[in-house]
Amino acid sequence: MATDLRLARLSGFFGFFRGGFMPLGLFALVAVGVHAAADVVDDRLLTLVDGLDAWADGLLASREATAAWVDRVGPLQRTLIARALALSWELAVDVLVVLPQLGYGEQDETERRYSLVKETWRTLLGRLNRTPTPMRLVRPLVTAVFAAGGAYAVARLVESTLFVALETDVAPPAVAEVVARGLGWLALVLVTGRLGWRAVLRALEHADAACEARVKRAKSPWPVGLWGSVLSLPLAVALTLEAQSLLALVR
Amino acid sequence: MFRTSSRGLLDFLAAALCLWAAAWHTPVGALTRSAVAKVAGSRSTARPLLAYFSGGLYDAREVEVPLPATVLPDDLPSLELPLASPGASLGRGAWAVLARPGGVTSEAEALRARFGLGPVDSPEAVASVLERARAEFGTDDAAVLALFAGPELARYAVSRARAEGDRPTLEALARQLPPGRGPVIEAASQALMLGTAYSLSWPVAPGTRVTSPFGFRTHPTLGTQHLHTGVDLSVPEGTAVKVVADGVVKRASEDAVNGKVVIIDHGRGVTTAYCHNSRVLVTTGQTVRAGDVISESGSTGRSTGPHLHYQLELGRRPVDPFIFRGRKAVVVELPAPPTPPKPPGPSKALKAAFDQVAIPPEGTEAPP
Repeated sequence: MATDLRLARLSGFFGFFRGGFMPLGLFALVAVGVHAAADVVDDRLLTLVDGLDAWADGLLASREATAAWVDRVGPLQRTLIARALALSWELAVDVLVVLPQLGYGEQDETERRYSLVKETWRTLLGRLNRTPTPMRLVRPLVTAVFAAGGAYAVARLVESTLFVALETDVAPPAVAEVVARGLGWLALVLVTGRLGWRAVLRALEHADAACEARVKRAKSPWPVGLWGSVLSLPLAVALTLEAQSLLALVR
Repeated sequence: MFRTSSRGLLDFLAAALCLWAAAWHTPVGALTRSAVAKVAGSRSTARPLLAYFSGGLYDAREVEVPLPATVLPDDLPSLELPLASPGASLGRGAWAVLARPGGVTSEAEALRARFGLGPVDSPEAVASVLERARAEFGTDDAAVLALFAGPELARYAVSRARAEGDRPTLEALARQLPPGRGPVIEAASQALMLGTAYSLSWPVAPGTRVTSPFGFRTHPTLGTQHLHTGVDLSVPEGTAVKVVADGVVKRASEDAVNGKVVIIDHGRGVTTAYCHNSRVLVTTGQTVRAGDVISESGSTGRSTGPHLHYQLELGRRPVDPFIFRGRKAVVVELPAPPTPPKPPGPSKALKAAFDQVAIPPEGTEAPP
């Protein structure tokens, strides 16, 4: 009973600061997922850069005047170019798609009672059905993929960190592995259950607000956020194709 | 739209886990940590931004190439070198890393003790430990990881990588390790890279004359210092060029400098290139086995004399292939041809591109 009370007090104490840590947590969750996706495309970008370099070398070599430029870009430079491209891609998606997560806000009962517009996920979905735009369609989908990837990455880190911590002195390796796996699972459920859905809904909320602002200026909402959608969609697809690793949780 | 909850412990825990993961494992986190360190006037522990991509496992840092085991006098005309077995090569590669300052790690000692073997004090001893570890963990990559990270962590990483449907390569295993294991992964990657390099055979008959060795040399036409990124082996036109290890053809093409060129990816950050061929017998993407004939040597590209430019790259950086033959290259000085009057010939820009051949174009200048 006393423990329950202490936990409730502790929880209430943290609740006081949720306006600070919730937006940061949402941002971090989606950013980890975006990095996991960028890590997937990194090697494919290198293959692409190598292929482009071979093609350019062939083109340059065909004329005597440009033949001197053949092999000017060495393998190390090609690696740096590919990795810098992956990093730029990731940072661009962070700015265009992940940063709006920091705009996450909550209302208490009094604020809700007196607010003029009472938004719910139903009203957002209603507008999505009536006026589907690329931003309204793509942002929640890619955010869901990134949030799932992020939650899995967090769970994997928790599991491996706990395994090492437990296996060293506390428990035999077999026991440490089972305990770490269980706590990894718990981390996945916790992060998805407390933050995952909020990140997706926040992405829809942001997309809806951006589109509505454009409609109010009597302009078509279609081009809003197109760059973010175009850049994030391939990363989300790449991460989805790697989703077989999620099955590892049940193996 | 979101209702405020009066409680926040679980939300705080979830947010804290995400922030921890983002801070240590994303470039955005690295940027933030660097900025915080700058404001606080302390030293940031963030890695360079490009090092946060796992694809760079083998090329993140320049490999420390060991010195040749034996140095022979330059005037020895021919070398016949015994090839090391794959296990022995891996032992040499791992020993080259273990023998650096810092010495044999406690993890290596733990692995040795686990198998009841003697002290890890030579390439042969390391090879024995790795052989036993390979039998237990299934692959060379896992065995080498066990040597540097300890057997339990390696076993855990193998089991998780297999559960994710990955082959237990070092890349897949590294993804399963907890934070702070960067130095271990780096040591294992270097050991595997060096071990693979030690296992390479030679593309033409061992003892073939070297007309231009690896390293900085005075450029034959410009008179300035340039890095010659491979070794030039003097072979007659049409000589069969054999691939030095199993791999995949990464490039089979022709250009004005390298001529008909084949580049083979052997995995673990090791690639080899064979330039100036007269015929290429493989196509890009083809899988080749050690000893397969991939081309016939020639004198295409910026070359006037038949030779093979053989290049070895570790972590996408060129290194002297003779280091891994255990001997110093034997350089044969060619007699300088009489210097004819300089023709109106190639432009300065073209000369700049001419840095990969043993003998300059006929009628320009004497060989280096």
